[in-house]
Amino acid sequence: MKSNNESNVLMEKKATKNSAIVKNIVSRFTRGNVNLQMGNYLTKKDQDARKKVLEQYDFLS
Amino acid sequence: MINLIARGKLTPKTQKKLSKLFVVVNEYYKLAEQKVKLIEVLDNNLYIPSVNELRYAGYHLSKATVANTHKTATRELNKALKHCKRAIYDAIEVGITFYLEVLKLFFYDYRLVVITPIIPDLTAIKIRISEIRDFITKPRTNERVAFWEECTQLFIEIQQIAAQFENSREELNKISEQHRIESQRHRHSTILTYVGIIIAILVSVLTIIYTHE
Repeated sequence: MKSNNESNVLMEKKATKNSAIVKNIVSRFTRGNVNLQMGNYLTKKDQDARKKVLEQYDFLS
Repeated sequence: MINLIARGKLTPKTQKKLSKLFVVVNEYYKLAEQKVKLIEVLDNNLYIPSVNELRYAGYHLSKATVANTHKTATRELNKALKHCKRAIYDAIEVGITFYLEVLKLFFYDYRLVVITPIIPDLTAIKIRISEIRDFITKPRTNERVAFWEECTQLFIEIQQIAAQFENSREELNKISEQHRIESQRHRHSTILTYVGIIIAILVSVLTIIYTHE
């Protein structure tokens, strides 16, 4: 169980590092859109994550 | 279409039909581009899937201009139209998500304050917000083309709701401040009461001691 948690944490760190690398590459090669150059963009994965958080929130409470 | 006109393959009727379809696609493309830009400015994030849909629409539009038959041109234009509608849906969905997050933050900020004096129909509005949330969280892959119009209406609605709540922050802050002052006053008077009781007890005890002496 402990090794599963550790590997999950490692995978999350790697995913964060990878997305930071991707944002860096996008910023370096983008021309013409300020938001892209600043790394302010959303992928489908990001939007789905936002929707998932909203799905679990109870607006009626 | 340029190809078809150049080769004289279009009758006046089909040329008129195709021209109309080009105009419709052009209008939807412009609308989609506006929505993508609007949401980019609102959310401070460019939504990549909606930009991709515009790219695909552009691809089908360019294929339509060099199509060899009017059937192919019509097919490509209809595909471009579908991509424009998907781009609108995708962009608007991000806009609705943005406003739902604004409302979530609002309800957290005023979780200890009674909001109904300022917003009397709060329960009905909360139900409506839930319904809008359920609409966008429902999985949709191929239905985005059919629901782009409804999504746009919901965006306008949630925008108005969020504006109403954000504009009530000033009044709610005043109520919250009033509550804070009243509870502080109540706390002070409670402390003074306890201090008074302790002093009274002390005085009585001292009186008893000195009287006995």
